Amino acid sequence: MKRVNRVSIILLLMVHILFIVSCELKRNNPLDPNGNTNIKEPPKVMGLIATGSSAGVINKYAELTWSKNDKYTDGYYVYIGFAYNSSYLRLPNPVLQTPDNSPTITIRVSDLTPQFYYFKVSAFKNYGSAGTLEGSLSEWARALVN
Amino acid sequence: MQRLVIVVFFALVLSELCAVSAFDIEKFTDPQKYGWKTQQDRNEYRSDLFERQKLLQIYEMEAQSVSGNILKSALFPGWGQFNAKSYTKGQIFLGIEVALLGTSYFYYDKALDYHKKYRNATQIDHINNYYNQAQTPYQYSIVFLSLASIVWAYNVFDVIQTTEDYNATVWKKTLQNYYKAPVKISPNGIEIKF
Repeated sequence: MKRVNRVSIILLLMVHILFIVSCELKRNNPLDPNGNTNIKEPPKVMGLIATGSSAGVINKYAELTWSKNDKYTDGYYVYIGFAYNSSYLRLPNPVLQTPDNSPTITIRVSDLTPQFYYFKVSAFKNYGSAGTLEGSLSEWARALVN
Repeated sequence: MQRLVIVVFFALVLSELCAVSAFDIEKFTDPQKYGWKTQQDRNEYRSDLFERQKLLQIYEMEAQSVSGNILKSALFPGWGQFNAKSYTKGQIFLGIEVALLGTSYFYYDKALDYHKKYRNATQIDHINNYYNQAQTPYQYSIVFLSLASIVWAYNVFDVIQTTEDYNATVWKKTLQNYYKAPVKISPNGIEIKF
């Protein structure tokens, strides 16, 4: 009788452990590439270079250049910050992927004041009704606007 | 023919008499088979039986139903134990169950909060981070929930033993109270102890 009790308790605990291990939250975000083969993550943007406008220029700007993604990308978001580890603000107008054969994309961020600016760029892909999936942010690049 | 009928009739009567003599009336009425050696023993046994029947009625009034207590403890852990006057056990079961369920709910709520952020996220790093952040408290909540269910099951198992112990105590007390009572009414008369 004692042996039966012990066996049943062990079985009960094993069922519990299996139950706990098998419990997972649903991955029900329509943009989550895990468990949704139609969704592809846009690649991380590489080769970001930022250059500030030189002294004497009236309309101060920073020029950003990065390598163009070859897949799963409809455009890019540009982020701006005031330190490498500060929070970054996304600029309102995304940069659309250009259909030309150029390997890089170059944009100019204007109306800046003279100081250091930090930039990050991410690629995005539009999935219609599911929404727009944004990829990982690039490494930061610094520009000194004079 | 008439003679044959008479012979058969007598044969039947004789067999009936033999059958009657085969039934051991001595053994049937032997009072010693129950361990009664004298008539007084028999009377005492009868008196004891009568008393026990009376005590049983008192016991049944105070004894608790095991199935009723199981139902109570299944609905609210510890209720059956409280009912069986096992207050400490009842408090422990109720306390543990409330603590475990409360902790489980706390983690579940936290997990839901992160999961909501995960569902609304559009950036891949946020999607992965929020999902991972939701997963840990969710598993904690499941662990605490399963512990609560184990305690619940043990509480239901325990209430059977507790109720049986309570009923055994009731029976013992009923006997004690009866035999210690200064005035006893029995079929033999009224007994007064000094």
